[in-house]
Amino acid sequence: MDIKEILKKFWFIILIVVVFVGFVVVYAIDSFKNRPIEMTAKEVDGQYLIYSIGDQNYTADELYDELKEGYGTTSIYREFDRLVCDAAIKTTSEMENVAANQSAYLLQNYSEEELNSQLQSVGFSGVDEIDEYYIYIQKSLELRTEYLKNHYDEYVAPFMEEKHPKIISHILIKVADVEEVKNEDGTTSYVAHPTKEESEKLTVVEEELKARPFADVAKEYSEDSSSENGGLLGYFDDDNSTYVEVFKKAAKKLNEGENSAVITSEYGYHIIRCDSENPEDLYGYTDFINNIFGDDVVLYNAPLLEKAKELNITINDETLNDSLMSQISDESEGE
Amino acid sequence: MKKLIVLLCLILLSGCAAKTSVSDPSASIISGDGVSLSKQAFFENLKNNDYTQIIVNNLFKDLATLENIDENTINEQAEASLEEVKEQYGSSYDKVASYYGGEDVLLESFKIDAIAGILADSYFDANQEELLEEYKPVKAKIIYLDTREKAEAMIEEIKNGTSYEMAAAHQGYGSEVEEKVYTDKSDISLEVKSVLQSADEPMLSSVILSVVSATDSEGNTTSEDRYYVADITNVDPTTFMDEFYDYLASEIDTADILNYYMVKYDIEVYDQRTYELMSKTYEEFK
Repeated sequence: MDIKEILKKFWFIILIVVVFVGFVVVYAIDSFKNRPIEMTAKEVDGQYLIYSIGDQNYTADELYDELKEGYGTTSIYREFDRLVCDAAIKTTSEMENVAANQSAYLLQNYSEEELNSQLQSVGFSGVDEIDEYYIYIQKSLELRTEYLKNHYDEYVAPFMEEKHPKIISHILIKVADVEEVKNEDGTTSYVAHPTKEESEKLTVVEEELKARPFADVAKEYSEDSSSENGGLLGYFDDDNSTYVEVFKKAAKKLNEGENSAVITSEYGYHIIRCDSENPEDLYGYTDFINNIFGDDVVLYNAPLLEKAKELNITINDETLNDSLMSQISDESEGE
Repeated sequence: MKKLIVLLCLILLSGCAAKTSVSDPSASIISGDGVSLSKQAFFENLKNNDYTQIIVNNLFKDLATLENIDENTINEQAEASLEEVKEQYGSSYDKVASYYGGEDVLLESFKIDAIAGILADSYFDANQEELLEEYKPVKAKIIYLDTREKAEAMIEEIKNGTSYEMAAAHQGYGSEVEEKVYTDKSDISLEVKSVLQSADEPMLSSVILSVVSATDSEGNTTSEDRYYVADITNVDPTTFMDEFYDYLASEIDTADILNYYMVKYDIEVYDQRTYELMSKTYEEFK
């Protein structure tokens, strides 16, 4: 068969092959053009270079020294905290699930560039370590929670006594017409002018609460997003700054298991419930843990240092160790 | 055949990029029961910080050496800047210095500023022809008035021998009129720019009308007629190069100047993270 005959007989196959090869070539050229530039390491006199310009060299050791001076204390703190948390607390599948959910949410809502920048600012390499970051956050919280449990009398009990932490829920019945009244003492109170329907709804809720659990009634009648969780608002203490004044005043007075009287805010009627004042329940709330530590850097890091000692984890670079300990340990208090 | 295979393997291996390493990379920074952090791993972690400024400062120092900039000149300029700051802040200077990390750090940053200034001037010298062509600088005094009558009256007065400043004051122009360098890139109205660029000798302009549009807070578009009077005082930039350089120093990005020198001295980068960090701003860092 000569070429003409082959072309005539297999023209369709040849056409497909030509088109396919064309696609492959275009794809290969495109990939080549967009490939990330790969740097090749270079060594001079036994030292790796970061860059060279003219006859001047800037070495990895020089960069290391400058980075250590500028960011050493912050970076060693992150690494130390991370390693101690990793060694002290086992990664559970629950932690992995929480981390995976949080990562998925962020990856869906933020660009890779934004996330890389945020993660790098807290010492992680980028989105490739996003799950590790959220696992670390959980471990760090658990380490500190355990410490507080073990030092209940020292730190938790005084805080409970002073700030009256609790877990609260509420039922909101919206009232469209609420009048704001300025009191003589400078405070603000609210007077509701409910419609017939709004009044009736309040009566129904009050009756229902006599017979059914608070969470069930909240789920059925409350008119805000917390209704999905049985009206659960979560952590509350005397320093709370989230809620309106009249709400805080009523919530502060409640003891475990008590419901407030009906109070009126700019949003309408509320009935608040104190679900728990039990520390075992409160430990599950990050705000509870963080508020006990407050701004006390030494106390916040006491669990870290205690655990590091227990696990014989040490910082072997003297400069970094001294610099860090002067900021986070008891030594810093005397300065 | 065997030799060929060995050769191919060697070629492949030589193409593999090794990682930039610190000396004594396996030295232990953190150790303990079941955990360790090597010096190299800590180095990689440190490189997660944004250290652009460290690299830029080092580049400036290297360029100072390469360009043979006199160290005494750098020190003198830096110390003069430090004295200015001391004078400016008086008794609160110590607090300011401490905020920046101490006097040494402050002085070091003024040294970098001094080098950057000297390098910028050299860059301008080396690219003078292109910069003059690109910017087309002239010196002029320019004001605008709200009516054509006022602008015409002002021009008439100047032609009769009154100074530009006095004539402006007579038309109710309260501010001092400053003679400045204007260029093709100055943020002034296109109509005025066109008059400045077409002047080939010092001259007083006729009335230049420019209509300025603006959008108010309610989204309505309004327009305002402005009547400019320009006194073009110098069209020969070779006689005001220092002022032109001062203008350029405030206009041109440091990145442009660094990019120029990185090409001039053929920069070679060997560290991936540093390349990724720097090349976002400095396109010649590669």
